Amino acid sequence: MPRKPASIFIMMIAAALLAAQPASGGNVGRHRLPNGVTVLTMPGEWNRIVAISVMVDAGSKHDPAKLPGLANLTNSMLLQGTTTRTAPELAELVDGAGLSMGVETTRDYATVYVTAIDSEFDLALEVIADVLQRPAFDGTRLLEAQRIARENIEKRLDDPFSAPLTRVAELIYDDHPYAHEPGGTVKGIERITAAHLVKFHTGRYVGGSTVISIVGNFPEKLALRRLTELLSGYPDRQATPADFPPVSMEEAETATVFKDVDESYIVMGFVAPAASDPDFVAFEVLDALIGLGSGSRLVAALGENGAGLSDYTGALCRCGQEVSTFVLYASTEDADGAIDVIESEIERLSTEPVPDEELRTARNRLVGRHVIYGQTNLVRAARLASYELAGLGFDFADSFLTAVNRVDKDDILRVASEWLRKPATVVVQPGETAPPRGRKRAGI
Amino acid sequence: MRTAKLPTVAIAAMFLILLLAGCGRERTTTTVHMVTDNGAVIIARENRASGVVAIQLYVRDGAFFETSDEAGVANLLHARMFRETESRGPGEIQRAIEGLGGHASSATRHDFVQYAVIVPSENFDEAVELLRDGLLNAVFDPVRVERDREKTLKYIDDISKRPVDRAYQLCLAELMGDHPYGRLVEGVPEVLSRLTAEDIERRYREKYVGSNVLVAITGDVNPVAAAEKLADVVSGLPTGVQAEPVSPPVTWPTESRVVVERIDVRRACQVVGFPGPGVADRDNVTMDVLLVILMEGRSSRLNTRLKEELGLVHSVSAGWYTQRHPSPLFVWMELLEENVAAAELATVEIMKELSEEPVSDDELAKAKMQLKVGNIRMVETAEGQAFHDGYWNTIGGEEFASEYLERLSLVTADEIQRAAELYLGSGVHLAAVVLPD
Repeated sequence: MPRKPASIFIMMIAAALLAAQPASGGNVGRHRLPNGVTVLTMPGEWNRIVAISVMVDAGSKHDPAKLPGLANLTNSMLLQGTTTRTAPELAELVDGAGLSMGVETTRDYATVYVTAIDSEFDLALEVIADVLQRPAFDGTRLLEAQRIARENIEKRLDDPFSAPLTRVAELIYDDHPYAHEPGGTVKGIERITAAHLVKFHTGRYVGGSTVISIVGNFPEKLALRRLTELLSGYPDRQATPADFPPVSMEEAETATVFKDVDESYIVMGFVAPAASDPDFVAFEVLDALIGLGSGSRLVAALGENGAGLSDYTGALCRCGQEVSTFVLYASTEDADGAIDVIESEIERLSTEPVPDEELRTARNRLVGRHVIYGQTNLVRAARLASYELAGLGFDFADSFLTAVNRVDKDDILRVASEWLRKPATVVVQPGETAPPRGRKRAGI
Repeated sequence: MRTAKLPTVAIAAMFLILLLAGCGRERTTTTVHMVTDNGAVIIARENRASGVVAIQLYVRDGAFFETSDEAGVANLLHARMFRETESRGPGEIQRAIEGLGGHASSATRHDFVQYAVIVPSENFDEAVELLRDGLLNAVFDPVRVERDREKTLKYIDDISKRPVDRAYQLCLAELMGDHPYGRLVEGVPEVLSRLTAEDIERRYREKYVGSNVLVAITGDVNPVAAAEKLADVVSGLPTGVQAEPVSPPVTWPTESRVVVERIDVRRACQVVGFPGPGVADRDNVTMDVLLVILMEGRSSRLNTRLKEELGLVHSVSAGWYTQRHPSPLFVWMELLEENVAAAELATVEIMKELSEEPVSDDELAKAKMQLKVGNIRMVETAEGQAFHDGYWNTIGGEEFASEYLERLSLVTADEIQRAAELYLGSGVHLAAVVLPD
């Protein structure tokens, strides 16, 4: 049974950047602390869980060129003890109060989050403020974190779906920092020292680059007062703006990777519109049309009722603040045949208007996914913070959902022609031969 | 309590109750419990937190209800259910549910088979009609049964190559002997190879009957109206005969054993299994507390001892599933080959300590808090709440589930020590080790 290509974090990014169903009874408040931290609040009593999501403009796109993985390692070390609590003390406190705490680093953001039952809300605030401001960056803990980071990189490169996803990003993004995964590279991880972590943390974990969102059953006024107190030492400034090179695919490219696999894995990647791009909503509907669910075109064309070439195929969009990465994937015993089918489906999207009923169900799949995935307070909090930090506004979800239902067949033709032109295609083939990297292939 | 008269189906019993969810500052949600004339059970719960509704169908089938000669028939049948009907082609129901903005999934467990749908609540009625067709009008095309058989055999082969799955399976098989909990729910290749489409259809006619079915609904719906709709659907099933277990009682090994297998893997994996209780045993909640003390969080005993202090494992976890019959407590770990014996020994030592000394007040309080919060988290989503209702009612633990938080608050250190002594104190265990070839 092939593993799914989309790791959990990819799903989180996509879901977080897309539309949310506003929680029933949830009115969002936007506040600014004296040190520039933006706080979004959505209080409500629909259940006893409170979620706090802290999102910082400190994603892996800010990794220094020689230190890929620094942002992720810095963020992961936030949970490895503070200057006021050792790692075991922190773990004891978190476990004892039934808190669930975690970190996640994407290409654009670093997130630390906690969920708690309402009675432990104040402690949750106190703990998250502590880890955000006072990480210990202990040397022994760093060694362990580096070992885990290296293992995760090896696992990723060993996985027949994750490995080509990584390679596709390299082909598409070239010198742009989106070319490397947030987890970094083994060489980069090995070069990182505690001093690097301190410098990165000091530079980017600052008030003007931080958004905190709180969703669930909590007292709003008290929360704002406590946050003001708890974050009084958090720096009142903006992180240095970064200047990224433009992304442009000059030509379609292909690469082959050989692995110990039973069948081939195809990953075809495209540069896609960022969430702030006017084409974003139509492109999301296109994504649902071609690759979301069993009613999608790829499943129809490649699955058992079509060419019978793949029983595992679909699309995913890794939404980014600069640009997004759109990927079509399939596992198959006939890579050439499957690529031909995928290319003809892309061609069809660019040239033939989508039937009304197909467009309607694609829109439904897209909206339904957001509603279903957005049930938990943690996802609601993550969405609010990501919209805000991306400059989309915390109410982005409402306008997105409205816009989805306005997308028509001309929009689909337009965005398909505009964006699905120069793919970076990586094929994982069974075998042990060294991969010929960067072989050129004619564009579609 | 009041009885409602339903226009389309005769209802044997229907209760409208107010269920106090969570604890402390409780919130009230309306829940309907209904039994149809043909014996099907409907539990519908209102949850307006999100604009979705989850519908889950539970059938008394699965490995627990299979003889060794039938091992895998329930899963092969499940693979064809809701796939094709007399009026809808292969995959059409799933596509239609997705076209409503929903999602459909299914699973075979040892104790039951589950079919789950979640849709935006405005599409509830259409989803119910799709479920009606899939449940009542299933067809079993021999060509597609053959395809499912091949997929299942490939899956069984694939998981035998994954170290954690393989070690777990070895441990389960050795611990449980002939009991069906010792088999994969996917079945046994020799049995699967001879099952026919007729066998699958016969199983459908026998097991998919009113007295074997439970439906759990949670979401942004009127629970009375929702229960009525689903009652109307399942009333189309014959009453049938309620499935009874065909499995022998569980007999635990009396001596410890180690099973070692070398396969093409990078890293060693070890699973250590100990006896545990079943859903009817009084030690249920106590065992949950004990399990949390062992494995929940970075400050748990297993993590602290095996990973932090002794550095024997890369990762360690533990699990115990509440099932109809007594089920094992497992500890699984990824580690270097040279640490396998020491990690096994240390694991048994940790278990013995639990049976020899009471846990501290702090440790007990921490474990209870984690379980309480876990219980609240589980029902945060509509599908989580529906699963909670469906699972416990299907395996006979509805009383256990409804009293869970109260019983949890009463668990003492002495009870934990007694349960540990009963199940873990003898030190008898089964270690299954998968090593790199």
